[in-house]
Amino acid sequence: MTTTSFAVVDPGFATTIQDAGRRGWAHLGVPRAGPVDPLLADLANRLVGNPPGTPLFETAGGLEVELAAPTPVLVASTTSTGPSVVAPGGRIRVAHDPHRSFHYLAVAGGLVADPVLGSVSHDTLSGLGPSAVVRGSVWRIRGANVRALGALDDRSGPERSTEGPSAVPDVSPLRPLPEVIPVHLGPRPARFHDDAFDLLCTTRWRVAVGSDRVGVRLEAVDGTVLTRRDAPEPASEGLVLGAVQVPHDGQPVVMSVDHPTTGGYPVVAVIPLPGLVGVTQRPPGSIVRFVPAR
Amino acid sequence: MARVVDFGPTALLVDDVDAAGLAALLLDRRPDRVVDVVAGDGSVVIDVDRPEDLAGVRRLVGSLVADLGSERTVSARHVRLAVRFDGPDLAEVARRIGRSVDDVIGSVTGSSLEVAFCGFAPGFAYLTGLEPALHLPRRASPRTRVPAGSFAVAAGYAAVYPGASPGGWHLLGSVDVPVWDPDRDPPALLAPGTRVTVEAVAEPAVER
Repeated sequence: MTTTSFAVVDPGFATTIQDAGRRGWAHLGVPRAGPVDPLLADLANRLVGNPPGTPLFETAGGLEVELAAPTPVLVASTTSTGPSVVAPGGRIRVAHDPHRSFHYLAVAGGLVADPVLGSVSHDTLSGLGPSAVVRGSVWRIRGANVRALGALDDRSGPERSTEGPSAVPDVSPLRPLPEVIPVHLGPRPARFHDDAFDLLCTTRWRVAVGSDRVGVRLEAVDGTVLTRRDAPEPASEGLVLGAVQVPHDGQPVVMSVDHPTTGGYPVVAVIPLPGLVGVTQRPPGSIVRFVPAR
Repeated sequence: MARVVDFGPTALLVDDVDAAGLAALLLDRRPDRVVDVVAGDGSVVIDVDRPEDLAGVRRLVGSLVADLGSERTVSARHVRLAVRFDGPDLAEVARRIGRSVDDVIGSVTGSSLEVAFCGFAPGFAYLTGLEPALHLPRRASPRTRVPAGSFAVAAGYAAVYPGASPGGWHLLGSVDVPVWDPDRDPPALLAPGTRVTVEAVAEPAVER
């Protein structure tokens, strides 16, 4: 009897297992993890009948898995337009999307992994959670929801690939990423010169290379620098998702899901979800702008 | 005088407060709408579930801060930390502050240390309570690898590295008991508010 599982044929880039995240442990220095794009991850889970937070793959593209199972399973990749059925031995590939950094591959029933502090999310900063998804690794699928297949026309058959189209996919359930992103003023405006928040909102920022699950570096297109007041280096204090830190070079760094729990750089602004994905899902080279939140 | 300010739409920053005391109180009570409590150097960040929870949590925090006296109401754990004072920087630190190695060891073991906050890595606790002479800036050139269990000092704090990592602190010794184990309850030996006494031990490291 085959245990229902995926074998990783190609790990792709920046591929990890994610569930709802590892909240409630920040006081011990544990990052929150979870999906970079929670609404998109929820969509993938919903398409296969899973509740939100069911463990799934997050990938920056190129992930390819092969199904070992006695029966077909229902999957959904957010690079495709809907759920589909994969037959035993079949492969699924999640294509790289030049317009959106992270996509999700969900399977009915969800992936199985050993929880750490109540979560199976992999946090790339501290390394907590199941190991990164590597070539040859095998990931069990929890009680594949065979009943869900009855709702579809019979599409099972020989090996079926659900690779997204090679052109930029038109994934209609996906909302477009916002380009003008609301931000709130940070908690200590006195740490900056008076115009810093205004400059943040009037400057065009380019997403820098090296942005990842920990944070997104922004560079001013026109060389603008956000200036901090001359003062002793700010003490170490708690950070939140979406906090915009300003290190010595005056270029903002946006905290993403694996952000460190404390930091010493002053925070000029905070970007709330859902607009935050307009930064954290944008590939390097993208231009973003900010506007004061109402 | 403690202040409570918004930190975005789903968090608060409490400034100029007994951070370890307030954090310990909130972590002990775990109010429903509070998701995370992060102590820092003189401040506490409180993360709530939804924007609509912020006003209620702000009121709760305001009343807790008002009642926070000099006496801690949550009894703190007390940990005895066995340290083998064999660190590569011990002699240099002693030389730098004009004291003997035994003096430095005696100063650390004679101090009442406390976990002010955690950060940098899971289970990495910043301990306050060292005498001012041992408040040294970080090393000019950090190490690319500090061994797990290293007992170190810098910037007015002492700490034990939970895992091997790059580090710029002065290594005074080593600790055998794992300070971080996610499969243990509690996972962190040193949590905010924990009081720590260091004991010098002489036995060589256990081979693992």
